[in-house]
Amino acid sequence: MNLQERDKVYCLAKTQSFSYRSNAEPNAFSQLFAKEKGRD
Amino acid sequence: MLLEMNVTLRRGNFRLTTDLSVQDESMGLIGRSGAGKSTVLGLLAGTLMPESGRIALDGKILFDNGKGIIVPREQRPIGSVLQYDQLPSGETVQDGLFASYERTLKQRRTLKPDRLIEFLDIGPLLTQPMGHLSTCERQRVLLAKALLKSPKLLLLDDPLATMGHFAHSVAPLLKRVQSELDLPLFYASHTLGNIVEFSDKAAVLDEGRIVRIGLINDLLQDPDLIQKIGLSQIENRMPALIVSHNTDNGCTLAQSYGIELVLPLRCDLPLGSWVTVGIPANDIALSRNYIYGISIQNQINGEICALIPRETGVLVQIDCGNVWLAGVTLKAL
Repeated sequence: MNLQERDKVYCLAKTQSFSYRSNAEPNAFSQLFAKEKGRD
Repeated sequence: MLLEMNVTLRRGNFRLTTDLSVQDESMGLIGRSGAGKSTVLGLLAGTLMPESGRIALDGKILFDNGKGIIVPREQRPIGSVLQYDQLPSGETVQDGLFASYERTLKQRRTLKPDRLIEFLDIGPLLTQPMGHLSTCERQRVLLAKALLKSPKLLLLDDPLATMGHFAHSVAPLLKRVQSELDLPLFYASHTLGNIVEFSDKAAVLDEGRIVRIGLINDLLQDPDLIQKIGLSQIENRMPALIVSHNTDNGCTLAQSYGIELVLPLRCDLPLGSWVTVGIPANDIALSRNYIYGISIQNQINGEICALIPRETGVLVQIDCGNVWLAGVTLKAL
């Protein structure tokens, strides 16, 4: 392909084996901590 | 948290020398198999004994051969989940967990055990002997034990790699604990995706020495270092908003940095929720043109920023709005 920096390309992404993780909501894991920040 | 580690260890032909000083920082440990990642964690945790040197945490000496000080593992303010950890086989999970908790001073306890047990889905295992646990169960119990110690430093030898589907829920839990408690974490792995969950900085080990410490993005720019890193898989990680599920064509649509991603159907991901999507660099091919009549649904245009030689080919860095990495062979280049 003779690829060089600054060349324009298309990324062809296969996603059959993609992984994912749910991002924690701010209120997730409530009641886990003995003291939560700002709640002394 | 100030960690100072200046030790040597020789085992057969392997010699490890560290000179490390870390303050309040999480860090990844990367390097080929046998480079010394697990050994560093074992020396810090107290499961391995250095030949000489000194380890101190917040000024408290954990090991000093000159002064004859060796603080045993259970008395170190360090939690750890190591690859070859032995659990007392006759002890039940409940006894093991609460022994960790009870040993911690009441005023230092940071987590509520019942909630941690619930989040790690350990409840059904509480009456089981430790020796009867599967690898995945064992890793979750070890993690709970480590956290119930309310440590000043958490050492993880890639437990997410053996947790199967639990990794989806354990990674956010760890991130929340890390941020809520300002808990520094050392994470050793061959998978960059697991490291960058917790730190943007890493130490590179090679033949028993720390050869570089720096931002992961900077380390990946150094072709010589890439040879030493020995990562089995480089994964693109991107935040994505779940937009829709189409059961007719079996796809979930997500948006990431303005790019529409077509993913295999995952109805378990709530619409409007944010997830971190991981796509291995080796699952991305490059084309100079848009291709019609191809089964691949994601064709994202971008501009090449850098070509990074690797042992097995080239890692191409592409700016698509955010940076993507594609692994290609030298022949394809």
